[in-house]
Amino acid sequence: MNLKPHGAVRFVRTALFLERVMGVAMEPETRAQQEMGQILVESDPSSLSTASPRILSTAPEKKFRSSEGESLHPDSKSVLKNLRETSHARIHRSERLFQGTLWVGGFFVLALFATVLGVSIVEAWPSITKFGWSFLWTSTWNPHRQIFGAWTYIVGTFWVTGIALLFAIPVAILSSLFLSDYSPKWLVGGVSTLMEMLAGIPSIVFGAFGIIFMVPLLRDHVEPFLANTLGKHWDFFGGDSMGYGILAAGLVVGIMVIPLVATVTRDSLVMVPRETVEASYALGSTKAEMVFFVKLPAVVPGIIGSVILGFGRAIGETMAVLLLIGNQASIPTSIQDVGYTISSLLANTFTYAVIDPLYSAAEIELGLILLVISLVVNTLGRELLMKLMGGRLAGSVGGG
Amino acid sequence: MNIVKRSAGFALTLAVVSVLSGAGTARATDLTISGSTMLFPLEQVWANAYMKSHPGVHISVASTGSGFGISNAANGNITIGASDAYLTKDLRKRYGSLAAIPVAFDDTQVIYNVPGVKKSQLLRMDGPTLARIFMGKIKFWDDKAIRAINPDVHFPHRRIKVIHRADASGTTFVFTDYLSQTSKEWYDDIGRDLSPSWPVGSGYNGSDAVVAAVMATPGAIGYVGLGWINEYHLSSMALKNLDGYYVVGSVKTIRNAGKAALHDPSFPDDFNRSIVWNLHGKNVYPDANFEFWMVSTALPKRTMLEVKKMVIWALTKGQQEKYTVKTGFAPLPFAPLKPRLNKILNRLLPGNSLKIESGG
Repeated sequence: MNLKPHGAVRFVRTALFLERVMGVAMEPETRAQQEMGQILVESDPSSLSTASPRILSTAPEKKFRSSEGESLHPDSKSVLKNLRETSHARIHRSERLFQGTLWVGGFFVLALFATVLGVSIVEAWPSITKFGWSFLWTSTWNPHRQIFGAWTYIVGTFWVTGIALLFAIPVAILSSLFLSDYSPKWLVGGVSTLMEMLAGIPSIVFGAFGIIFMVPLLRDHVEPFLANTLGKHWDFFGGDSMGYGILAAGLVVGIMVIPLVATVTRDSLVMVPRETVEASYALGSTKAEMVFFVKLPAVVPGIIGSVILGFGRAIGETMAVLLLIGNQASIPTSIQDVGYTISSLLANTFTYAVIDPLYSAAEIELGLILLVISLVVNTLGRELLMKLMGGRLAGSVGGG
Repeated sequence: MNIVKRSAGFALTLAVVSVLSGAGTARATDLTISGSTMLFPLEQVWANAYMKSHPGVHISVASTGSGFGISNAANGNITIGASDAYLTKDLRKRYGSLAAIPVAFDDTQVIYNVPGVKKSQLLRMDGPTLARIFMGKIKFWDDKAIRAINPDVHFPHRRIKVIHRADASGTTFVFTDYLSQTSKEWYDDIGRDLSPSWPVGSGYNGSDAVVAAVMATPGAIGYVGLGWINEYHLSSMALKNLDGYYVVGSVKTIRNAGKAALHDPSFPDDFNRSIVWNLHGKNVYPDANFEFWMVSTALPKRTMLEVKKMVIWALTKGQQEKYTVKTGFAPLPFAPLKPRLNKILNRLLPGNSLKIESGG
């Protein structure tokens, strides 16, 4: 029997085993040995073939029996010994090379992050030392007088994010409930696909949509209506209808956040154990009761995690917001007001700010604030999801 | 404008610069023009026409903003830096090697959308009132200050919606220049800047967005350059000039402003003074502006000779209406420009005989 599997196959197999069985990286010296043992334990190599078609084609025809059970084929011991000796050096070298490449890759990402952070801090330093913490709550931003404060932009950013989430969360939850429990089967695939496509549309397209659709709609219908009804009692809803403003920007960013929240929510709804659902029916609940009192509470952690990720997405959104928010550095007091977010300020003025050290330092410090907020929020959201969902959803939740 | 010493030091900028300058080695003559987004369309048609008539010359044009144009022309990353603004005292101190060459005229005009006021009806506006509108101190169209200047116009009681540029813009610089020169309040609080801190209103990215927002918003007031007025057949306000005349911006009245400045013996030879407001004459528009090319005296002589050729072409043949007026600029009058231009070119190429063809 000729048993000398190709190096690459051996490697893939090793990697698979290590990942599946051990879940840890091993020393190259022990790897070959480890592999021998593992292959022998595996009684059905066809289970491997589901993971890699390559292995299917080169998998040994003869199935090994477990070493604990029957004795090995008389030939195999010597073949294995031979194999170990001849290819050990080769494996060793290619392993090293591969490992080295991975280290470079890993460190490149680290270095990249460190560079971005380091350069930003260095460039922002004049502003950090001049304004200190008060930069955060100063609302004056006047390049002419060299006074810079982030408050207006921080508030604007949170306004847009808040409106976006308030709009996106109910819509996303309702749509995912519909898809998981009420929708006819033929609709599920289509809507889910559309939902994923929605997540992939560039934000500038949403911005343009906002200008041609959302702005006229708000200006001519929604905002005058709000002003004449709720606005009569609360200034918060009043104002003169422009169309542009935090409401338009928030709603459009909300549209962009919906797929993110809806996808994760639907995925977690599907994972609610069938037994739980059936138990609830057995206790006499209607479908609506089952959905609201059993399924929905079960997926709350998933929703929270996805909302945090949506927050991370919304807070950094630039193009769509820039086109719709009205770019006015004032603190909104009504949802009809215009505002300014950190990201749209940077997009609008940064190329100009570079001519003045303090001005550009202040803008970079704004960028740092945004970086810190989204870093914290994204990490929080991801950790929460991992913890609550047992890591099962880790792959489906991209960063903001 | 408070502009302190510093050349752009960011990765993005560097990348753009290295691409621009990297291209320079490949051809016989390679000129890079970069800067003002306002001047960009004119530079594009110029570059195409010039390359057609001057084989062997390659011109790459980029629209990167006036600030980029100034700083990168000074440090030699680009051949010519385009700028909407002249070299202020601060800039001259920092970029001593730069010479500003005026290459075209444009202006800033005030556009509006007042329901009930016909397009054919001429609206007048003076600096202090305009400044108070843009500061949010005049809130309604039927304010008595506006009615006092326009006694024969019936204004609705409608809120004024101020619309301005959100990005750093030469148009904004020229507009706030007019406000700064005519209103002390504006000068003290906000000043003249490409991107000032606007007290009220809403901001849009680019002149096209401003036009769209003004047209779509009843009660709006905004400002754009000459090119946009012509392209969209907008009506703009007649602005009060130094001698008290109300003048509507047009190719003719802008040229008048330029001529008035060029014939003024006190106007500096290096062009480093605004032509906004401080000009006498009946049909002189008070908010006109030179567009500039910034050239560093440190350029190698061979490149400088090419730049000189290109500049003279741009100021003569390049001023034809098919280039300038088509792209939204007013042509420069060549004759009154010549003495000052000679001095500038002499500074760039000392001791070089300057044969300037007539034209314009």
